[in-house]
Amino acid sequence: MTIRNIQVFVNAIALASGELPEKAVYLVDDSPGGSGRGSVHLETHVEPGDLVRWTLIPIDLQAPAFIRSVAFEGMGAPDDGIPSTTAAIADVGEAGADVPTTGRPLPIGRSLRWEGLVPMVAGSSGRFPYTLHVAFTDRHPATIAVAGPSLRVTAPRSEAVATGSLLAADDIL
Amino acid sequence: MQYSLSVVIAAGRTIVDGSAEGHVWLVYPRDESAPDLERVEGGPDPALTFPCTGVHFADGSMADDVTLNWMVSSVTSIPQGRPVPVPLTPDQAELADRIRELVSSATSLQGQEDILAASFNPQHRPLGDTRLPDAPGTPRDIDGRPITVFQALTGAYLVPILADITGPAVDDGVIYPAQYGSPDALTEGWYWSATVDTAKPGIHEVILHVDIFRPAVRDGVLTFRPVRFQIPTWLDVRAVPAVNGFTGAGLGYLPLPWEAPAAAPAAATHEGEAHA
Repeated sequence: MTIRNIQVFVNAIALASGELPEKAVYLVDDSPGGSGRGSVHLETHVEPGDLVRWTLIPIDLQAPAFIRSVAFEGMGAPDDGIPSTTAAIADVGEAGADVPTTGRPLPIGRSLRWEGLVPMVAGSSGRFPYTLHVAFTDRHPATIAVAGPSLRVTAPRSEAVATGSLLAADDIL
Repeated sequence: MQYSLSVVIAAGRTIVDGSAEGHVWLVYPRDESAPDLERVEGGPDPALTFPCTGVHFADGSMADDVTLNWMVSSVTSIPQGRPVPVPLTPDQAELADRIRELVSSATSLQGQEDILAASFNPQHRPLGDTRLPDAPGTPRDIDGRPITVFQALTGAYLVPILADITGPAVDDGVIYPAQYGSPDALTEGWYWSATVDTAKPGIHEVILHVDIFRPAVRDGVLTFRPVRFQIPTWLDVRAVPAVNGFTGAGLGYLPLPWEAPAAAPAAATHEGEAHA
C-alpha cells in the first residue's frame, strides 16, 4: 500500500473574506505524475489500493480551517455519506469509554481525518473530480466549496494484475 | 493548532488590593464542546480555565498539536498590536516631536509638566486620544491623586510583563512553556508560548507570574516599580479520538463512483497547468 499525501494549504482569512478559492487555496501532492501542483486544479495520480490522505494546513496558524467533507462528483449531494456532526459524536461517545463525554458536541472538525483507500474502478482508470468543503469553525455549518482538484486512477501495477484482482479481471474483459 | 490566550488585568485595582483575584480575565476562542465547570471553593475558576482539546490516534499518539500563546495586557495599558497613538497630520507630528524633545530635556517632573501644560492645545491633541486632566471629571490615579499630564501622556500603567509560568501543569509535563523573542517592544521583546501534551487529560493549574508596574514619584521623577503577582489559571485538557471523515469510524475505501464522470470541458483547460 502506497500512501499518497495531498496537502491543502488554505489562506483562511482570505477565503472566509470572499476571496476566490483559486486565489486562497493551494494543493500539492507527493504522487509521481499528475499536474496542477500549487493550484486548486491539482490532479493526483493514484492506483487502486493506494491510501490517499488529505491534510489541510492553514497558512496562518492562528486562523484555523479544516476540511468538513471531500465530495466526489457523481456521488450525490456533498454531505451524502458524511457522518453528521451529531452522529459522529454519538459514535465517539459510545466507542471511547475513557473519553470524557459531556453531552455537548465534540470539536469534530479538527478530529476528522480524511483518508481512504482507492477502490477499483470500471475501465481500470478514470479522472474523478472532487470538491473540498472547507469550514472555519465547529459552531457554524457554513462551508466554502473548493472545486477543481481530482484523482486520476491509473492502471494498476503489474503485481496487482498478478494477484488476480477484480480490476485485472476487468482488464482482460 | 495555535491558540492565543489574552490575559487582561486591571492593573490599578490589582495593585490597590494587593491581589489579582477578581481583576483578571482570560479571553480565548470559545469552544462549544468544553464542559461547563462549576465554581468550587478553592478549586479551578471556570472563568480562568482554558479548554484545551487535542486529537489522538487510536494508538494514543497525538494527531493534532496544541500550542498556546499568552498575551498579557492591562485594561489601562497602551494598546498592543498597534503603535502608541500618533498625531494625524505632519504639523501635529512635528509638534509632538518637539514636545518630546523638550520633555526629555527637562530635568524634573515639574519641568516636564510645565512644558506639557504650556504646549497643550485641546484642538491639537498631539498625542492622540489619551485622557487629559481637562476632561470632565478629573481622572485620578490609584492613590486618589489627580493624574498628571505626564502620567496621562505616558499611559496610566505600563503593560504587565509575564515573567514566568509554573505550577502543576509544568511540573507534570502537561505543558512545556518557553520564552520567545518578539519585535513587540511593549512586552520587553519576549512572549511566552507552550506546547501541550494532550495525552494528559484533566484540569491542571498554571500559575502566571506577572510583573505589574506601579507608578510612583521618587525625588520628583516618575518611576515604575514592578510588583510581582501570581495569578492562578487552569487548563482543561481533553483529547478526542481522530475519526475518519469518510466512514465516521476507521479506514475504508474512498467513496468514488464506479465509473469516472464525463470530463467537463472547463476542467480540461486546466490540465497540464503549473506542472511541477
